[in-house]
Amino acid sequence: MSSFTLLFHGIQAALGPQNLLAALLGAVMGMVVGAMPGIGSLAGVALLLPITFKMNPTTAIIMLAALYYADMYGGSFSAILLNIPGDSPAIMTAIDGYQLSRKGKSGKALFSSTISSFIGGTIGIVILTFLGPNLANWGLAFGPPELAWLILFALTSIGWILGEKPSIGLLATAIGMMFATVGVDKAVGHARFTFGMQNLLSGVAFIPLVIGMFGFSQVIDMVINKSNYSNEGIKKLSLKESMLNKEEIIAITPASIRTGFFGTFIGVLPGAGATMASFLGYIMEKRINKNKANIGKGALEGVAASESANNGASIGAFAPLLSLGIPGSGTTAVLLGGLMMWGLRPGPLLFSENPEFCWGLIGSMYIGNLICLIIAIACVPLLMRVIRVPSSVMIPIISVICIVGTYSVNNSMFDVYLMLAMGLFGYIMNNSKIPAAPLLLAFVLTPMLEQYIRQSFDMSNGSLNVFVSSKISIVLIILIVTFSVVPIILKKIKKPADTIAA
Amino acid sequence: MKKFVPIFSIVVGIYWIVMGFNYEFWVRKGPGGGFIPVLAGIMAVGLGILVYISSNKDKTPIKFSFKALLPVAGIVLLILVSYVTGLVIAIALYVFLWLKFMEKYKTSKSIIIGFCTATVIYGVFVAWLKVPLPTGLFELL
Repeated sequence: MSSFTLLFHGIQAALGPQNLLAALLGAVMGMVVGAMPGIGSLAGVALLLPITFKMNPTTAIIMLAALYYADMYGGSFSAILLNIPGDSPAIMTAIDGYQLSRKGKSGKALFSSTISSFIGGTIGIVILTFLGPNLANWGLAFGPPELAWLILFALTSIGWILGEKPSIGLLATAIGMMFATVGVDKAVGHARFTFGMQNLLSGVAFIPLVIGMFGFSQVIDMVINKSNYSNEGIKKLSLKESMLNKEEIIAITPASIRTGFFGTFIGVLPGAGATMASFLGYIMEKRINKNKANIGKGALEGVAASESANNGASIGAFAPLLSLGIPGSGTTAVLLGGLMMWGLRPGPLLFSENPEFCWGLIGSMYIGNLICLIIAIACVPLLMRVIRVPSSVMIPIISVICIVGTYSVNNSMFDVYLMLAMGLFGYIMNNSKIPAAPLLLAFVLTPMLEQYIRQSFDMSNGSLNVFVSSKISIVLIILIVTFSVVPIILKKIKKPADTIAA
Repeated sequence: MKKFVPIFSIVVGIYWIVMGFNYEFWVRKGPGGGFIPVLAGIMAVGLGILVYISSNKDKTPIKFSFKALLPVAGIVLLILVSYVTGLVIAIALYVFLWLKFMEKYKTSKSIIIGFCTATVIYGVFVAWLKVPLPTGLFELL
């Protein structure tokens, strides 16, 4: 049977009342969970998993999958409105999204994120439909050396792009790498940089770090520079004025399509995840978009790039999960547990032995993505009211969200103290014009980098050749050199030319 | 203040390099526990020096305002109070006191906002997500 026929049957199954309700419930919960700092998709899926025990596998996976990709929609809400990314994939969304909010364009930012999330998700679903198993095989071509180069590419690029000078962005990257090495070294079992504190044995937790550096540092800035947060000078746009006009839709569409494709392919890579996809998608648009000069300063294209990429990646992660039984992220690892629980064995035979399950899931993604779009657009008028709350009220409320969101990760007050310290540090960094995003990216990616470097040397018995032995590695090395060295050379060539012209 | 981050990264970077070699930089045929810390430390020290030098050229003064410690102090007090009253009640008190005394809101408005905030926190995190927030001395009941 052709893919179209199978997809048609899948959509028919997904439109059944039970499955439709499951998709709706998953979508709503995913958006709520995604919007709340400290509660990511992993916690949401883990919370819903027990409820699915009594459901049939198709309905269960439809609900959990809907929660996972709806989480990407929700993560952008708090990023745009409060500068607190709901989940790590929304970090890049916060950069442009919050600046748009401060300019009174929160509605436009929310609409941009919603539409681009839909575009990215749709692209991911279409690719999954027709190329699912092939996509997984492509992901397998990336071994530890290739993944190590990909991470280095991300680290050098984001440090280069953000910050007034490359040295500043890269300094933030270096600090993030140092923070990431705190805790027990999983390969060897020795504690590193814990200063004798038991709470640091598992390392610096990500949520206190991100909530502190983005959210609480924001609170500190609000207390000191209250006038900057006054809503008086900001024109309050009505709902109609907040909708994207034709030019704005035309502006965000190419970015959404490009990063949707890109994010899907990154999401396929085991361990890469939506966070790396959103970072890399953002970097790509910062390089090639027509409006690249404004990306990072409050551009709709910046929001679109990040959101489309992370939604594409969340769908792409299903390709290795279903075809090979390899989870692409922490959340899909929990989904894998669910599949085993329902008696299904992910792998090449899953599509042939359980077609109604696989195609029902893929069919439901089309419907679920549409449900997410409708719900998110319906929520925009309500969400726009948040930005009109005076900063004097936002200060204690955001503080409280930071505390509870941080505490809920490990039920530990130590994390809250850590969040406060990171908040102060983040405030000092902001004031010194040192961006926080490279630090957070380095923090997320450094453990993976270390793991892949170790695995590469294990594979090659200590030989460095493993890092230059594949075409993918060579391409990535060329990209790193091109993106890092060429701008410096061009700058040096341009300087004497400007001097001569003067 | 703009020199704080480069100085921090130089000092911490040097520490990371020294400790990194203690954790073993290279073991048999692969990186040891100190491999990434040493590399990160070297990056931090080198870039910290570069940024420090360039910050000397920028004459714009940026001072640290001790007002930055106000929300930190407020939250530390909230945490201390939570050991007695539980976190939810401490949150209500914190919001009320901040709005009343820092933002000069009316008492009634401050109470309402404090109560609503605590209710939403309780509803979402405790009742729905079952996060075991501290209950203070109420745990003994």
